[in-house]
Amino acid sequence: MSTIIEGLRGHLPFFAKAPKYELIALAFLTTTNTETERKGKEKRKERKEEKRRERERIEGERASERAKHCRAMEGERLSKAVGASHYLHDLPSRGYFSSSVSCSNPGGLRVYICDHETTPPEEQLIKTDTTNILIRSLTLKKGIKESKSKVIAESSTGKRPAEQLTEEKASSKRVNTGSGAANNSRKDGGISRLSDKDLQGFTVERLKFLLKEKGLPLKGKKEELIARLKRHM
Amino acid sequence: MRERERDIDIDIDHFILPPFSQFPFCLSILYLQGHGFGDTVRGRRGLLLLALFLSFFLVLPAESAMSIWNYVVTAHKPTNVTHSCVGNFTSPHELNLIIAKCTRVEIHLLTAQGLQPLLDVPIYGRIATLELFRPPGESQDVLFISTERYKFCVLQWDAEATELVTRAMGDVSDRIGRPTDNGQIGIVDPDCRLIGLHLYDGLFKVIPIDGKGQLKEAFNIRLEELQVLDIKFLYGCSKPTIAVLYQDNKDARHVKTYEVQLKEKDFGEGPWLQNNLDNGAGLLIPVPLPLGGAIIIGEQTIVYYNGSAFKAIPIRPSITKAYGKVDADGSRYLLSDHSGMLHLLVITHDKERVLGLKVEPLGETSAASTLSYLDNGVVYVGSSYGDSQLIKLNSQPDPKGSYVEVLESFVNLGPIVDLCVVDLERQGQGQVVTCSGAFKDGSLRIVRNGIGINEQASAELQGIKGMWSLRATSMDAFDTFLVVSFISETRILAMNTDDELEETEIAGFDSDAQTLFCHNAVHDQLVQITASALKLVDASSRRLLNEWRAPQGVSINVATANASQVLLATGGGNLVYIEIGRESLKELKHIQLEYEISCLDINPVGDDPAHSHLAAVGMWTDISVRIFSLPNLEMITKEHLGGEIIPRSVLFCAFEGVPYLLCALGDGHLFNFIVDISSGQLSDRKKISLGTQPITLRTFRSKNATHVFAASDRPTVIYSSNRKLLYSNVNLKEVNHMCPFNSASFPDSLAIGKEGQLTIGTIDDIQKLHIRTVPLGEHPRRICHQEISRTFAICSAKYSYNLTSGEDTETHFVRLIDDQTFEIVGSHQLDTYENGCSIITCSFTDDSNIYYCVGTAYALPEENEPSKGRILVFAVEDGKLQLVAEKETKGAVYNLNSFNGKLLAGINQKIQLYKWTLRDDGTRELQSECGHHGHILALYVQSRGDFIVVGDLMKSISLLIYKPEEGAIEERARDYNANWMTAVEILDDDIYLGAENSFNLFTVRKNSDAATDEERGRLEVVGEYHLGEFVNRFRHGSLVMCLPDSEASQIPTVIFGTVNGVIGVIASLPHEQFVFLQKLQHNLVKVIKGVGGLSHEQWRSFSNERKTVDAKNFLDGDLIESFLDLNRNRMEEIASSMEVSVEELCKRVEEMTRLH
Repeated sequence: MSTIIEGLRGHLPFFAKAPKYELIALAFLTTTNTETERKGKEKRKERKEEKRRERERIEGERASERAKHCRAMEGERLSKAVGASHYLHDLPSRGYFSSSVSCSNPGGLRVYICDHETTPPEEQLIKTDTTNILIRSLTLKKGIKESKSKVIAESSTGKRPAEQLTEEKASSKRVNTGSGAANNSRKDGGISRLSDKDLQGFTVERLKFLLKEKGLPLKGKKEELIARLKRHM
Repeated sequence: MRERERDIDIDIDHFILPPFSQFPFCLSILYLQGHGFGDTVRGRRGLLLLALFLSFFLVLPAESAMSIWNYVVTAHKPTNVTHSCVGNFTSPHELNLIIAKCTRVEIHLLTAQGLQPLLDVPIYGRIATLELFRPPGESQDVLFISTERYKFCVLQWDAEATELVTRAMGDVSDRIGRPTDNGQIGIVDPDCRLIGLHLYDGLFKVIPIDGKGQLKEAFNIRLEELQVLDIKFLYGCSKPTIAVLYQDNKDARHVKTYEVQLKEKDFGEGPWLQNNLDNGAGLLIPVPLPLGGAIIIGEQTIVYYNGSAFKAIPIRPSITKAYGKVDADGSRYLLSDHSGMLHLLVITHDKERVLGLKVEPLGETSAASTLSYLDNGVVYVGSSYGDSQLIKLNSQPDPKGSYVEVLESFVNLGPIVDLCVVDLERQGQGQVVTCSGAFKDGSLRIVRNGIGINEQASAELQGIKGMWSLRATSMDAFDTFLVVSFISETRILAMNTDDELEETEIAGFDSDAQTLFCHNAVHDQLVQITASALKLVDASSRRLLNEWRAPQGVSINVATANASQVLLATGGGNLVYIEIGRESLKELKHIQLEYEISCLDINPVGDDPAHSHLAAVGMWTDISVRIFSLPNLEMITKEHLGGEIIPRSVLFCAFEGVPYLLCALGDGHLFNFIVDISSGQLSDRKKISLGTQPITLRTFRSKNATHVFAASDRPTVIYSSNRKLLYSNVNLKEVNHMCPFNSASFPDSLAIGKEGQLTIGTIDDIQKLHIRTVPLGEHPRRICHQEISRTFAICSAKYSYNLTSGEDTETHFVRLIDDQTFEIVGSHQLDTYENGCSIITCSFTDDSNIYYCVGTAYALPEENEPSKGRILVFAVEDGKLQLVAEKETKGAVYNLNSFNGKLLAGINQKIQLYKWTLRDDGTRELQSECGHHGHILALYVQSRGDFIVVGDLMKSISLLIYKPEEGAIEERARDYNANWMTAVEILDDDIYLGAENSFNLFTVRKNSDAATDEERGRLEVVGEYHLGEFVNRFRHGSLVMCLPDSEASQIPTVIFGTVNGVIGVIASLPHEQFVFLQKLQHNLVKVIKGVGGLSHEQWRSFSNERKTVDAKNFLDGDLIESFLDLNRNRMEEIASSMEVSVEELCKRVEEMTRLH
């Protein structure tokens, strides 16, 4: 049921803000057909009827209001029937459409065939700044904070190491999650980016996997494996 | 009011029919999801049964050609005007009007005489926003365009090369983001510091512009407001400032302003905000300096606010759709509302402070989508729902109290909600009748390929052998005499004082012989050539001046003349050249050729309109056309035509200043050559088939241009556009002879000699497609034609404004319309809230009558999904609609199909089959026979034999089969993609065509010979293509005449109509031709570049919310046919890479152009 509802939310903007229980209720209303449902239907009918009556009442009030308003407007319009002429004087003119005979010829429209190069100058091929807005605003705020904190006190930068820590965590996590992560790292530019220290941190199994990917022999001690990898970077 | 606006937005802006709001669909979705499992179980059992039956169906012979390979081409370009703007684009001193019509941009030039069209630019994208702006320090405006698929470009006009130069372009899509519901917004800062885009909810994209007008890297800014209605830049702010009109989560509307901080890439707080506006506020108008601030247009009030001054006025409830600035200082604006009422909004001010607002109604126009004040009181009204207009604002009202004078209307077919293809004149040529326009601008449009002759007068005359018109004197502007030649006599007709054609006499003419040629000569004379003599007659005294007689025993076979020269051929290949003097006929030259002469022409195409120095001669025996110089009769060139059919008619003619030689054969073929006037050499030989009978060629003038009429069994008008020869059919059956007859009482007419009849008629404007408008004043939604009663039936909705209640009311009708006069001859009003949803003409088993069946739905305001509808069966009796039977249904009858003598209806989620049964009392009724569940909404249904193809609201296409033995409908296969369908059609037994709501087309194939049940139950997607148009209807048929011998008529075609008023053709090509054209398209993409650097491949790639894949098995006919517009060098470039000759390529592409 929930997937249906989520699906609905996705497709029909109309439902995007409807509370979930309403949707569920709707779903049940239309799918079950029991005694209680029938009773419910009657009740709902009553409620609907009530609502309708109320709506009619409100609508009637509104309509009469609107009618009043309209009549007023109509009256206003009649009384000022000459008004528009006054405002239509001195329309801006630069000399076009001055001839009394105006004729345009729709047949004369030439279809444009573009057989020249249309790529823009290189620096005018516009791309979007890919920095995440959140990160940008965070760094921005951090910048402001930093400049503030610098003024106040130099030592209160307790947050920064923590951030660095999480970053490190993330990167080490990526390295250690076996073959799936290896694929990721290759996409990111291959192991050529890995430093000596990173390689040292790898398990032998992981090193062998990397060697296998490059089609290199898998024999030898850890140091040999690392050396072989480095040679072929 | 709000309620109504929602309805309008959904109903009209998207034109997804059925005409109910999106809301109702939800319930049925849930309903079906609940039943989903049961269906699949039943489906499996059904499949087993199907497998048993399958063997029978496989035996059915598969149709020879598969319709997998399709060619899509536009027959009528989009006409829905979405944007317009005015500025100095083509030159610093020229003022241009720029119009966006969905996928095309039109550039016009303002002149003292009016609007002069310049260019029609195709864009590889659906234009979302269009703005002109002037980069700092430049004297000319540049054009900013963004497309719905998140590309943008900045175009500049290079006046020297007459080219559009791409200044900048880019992709502004984001990987994450929810596309905005209220349409994309693209705006340029008035001080030209940045371009702002609102494409995704909660994001505002900024493209900075530096001091040199160069664009910089774009960035996004988070926008707190999620439901944005409008964003505009404010004038006169030190930092670029936007005003945002938005709706909060309590549905209240507010305006907020933000400063854009380019350095910080963030918003700063703006100068002011205004909360709790009119509930219907939808439009912001920034006011230029010295006043500044903004106007907020609501449904009941208009407000001006600039942070300090606040002015508001009430208005009559209306939804303002467009505004246009009149004065540069922003003291007057034009507003157009949903009903097409034009208002003038005046800001009264003392140059510093705003004193008040005034709104004055001006008059009615088409409901505008864009308004552009041009100059001198002239305004361009661009419309999506009716014809666009050029109007003039007069300072004094006309008798009806309107200040608006319509100067010109521009045809708009959009939105086409339904269409039908008919052959009203029963000549084998299809015409399309569309339901066009919306609300009060609704109309029927009859779209016809070719040119119409409107008959003015006609007379019975048997055996006409030739016709010429003569002026009484050379000074006359009009023709007086019509010389009609018969086998042994010549009759002269003239207009008498009662405007009747009366037989008369010209004394000097020989009326007892067949006339071969007649002409007005240079010294106020008339020339008549008969088989025996050439006579020169004084025009005023009508007495014979001189005569040239053919030698004894020799007769003149063919002859021609112009104002000062005569060329005639006598038997035995003798060619005689004679010059006309004041009273003399001088035989200057006489030669003998080796063969008999079949036709001649000396029509002057050079500078001197009375004298030619070239003669064209068509020959028997060697089947050639020769060019001779005059007066020496020396042969310049000889062109063998090949084949065995003699040339019957040759003609020199200049189109758009280019001299051509046309040469028509006895079998309906036509050659054309370009003539070098000075040397007399022929080049660019082309051959085309016009008909099957001998052709005679004649020139005539219409609207100051020369055209050629080719009389044959398929009369054709030859004309030129874009320096390209075009051939248009004429709506006449067989014409033997034609001559222009421009008389005082029938100006600009043609005299046409048909079998046994002489007709005088006027000719339509010379253009490819002819559109006749039948205004209805109400909104037609469905149309259908009934051959037997010669009527159309339409479902329509009439909207009216009730003054007393202040409500808009709608009433629905079924109307009967005569198919010749297009007058409404009968009406049937539907119940309150009842909408007409479908209409067909059909007959039933055991009943010889033919009925109109109408499917309806009750769209009750409190109901989410229509739960009740009706099927009404009407008979046409004495030209009136007679209700014969009605059947209540449990939902909206979205479609009806005549199905094996029964009636197939798509009712909400169900397909239902009804049979027509006889009751005891002799009356008939519809009785339900069987049905099929399993859809969300079965919106579009087509059938073929026992197969039923269903286009679902959101579950793509499925294939059902009716089993008459069991009386059951079962599902055979479905496409498992989630396409939201807008139209379906069956191309052949195995291939089905669908259009979906992201403007794509696709084809699916039935896999009846697959190995497993699972595969057989799947419709395989075989073709995908991005059309860029919202298709509302497919119909089999063709806009062109079906010629039995032409190759083009062997190609099956489907016509479609779209929201933007496009009429297009999908042609299913043989594989070989498809491969050839695909190669051509591939080569063309390298030569014809997308304007603004937009890529053709990306444009045509199938793309919706879920996936984007390259187009396959569809060809872009518009691109392929633009090959003919290329210059010769480019053509050769392409031909060489294709390894075929340019002529061959042209021929094959021209063949394709004849499909529409």
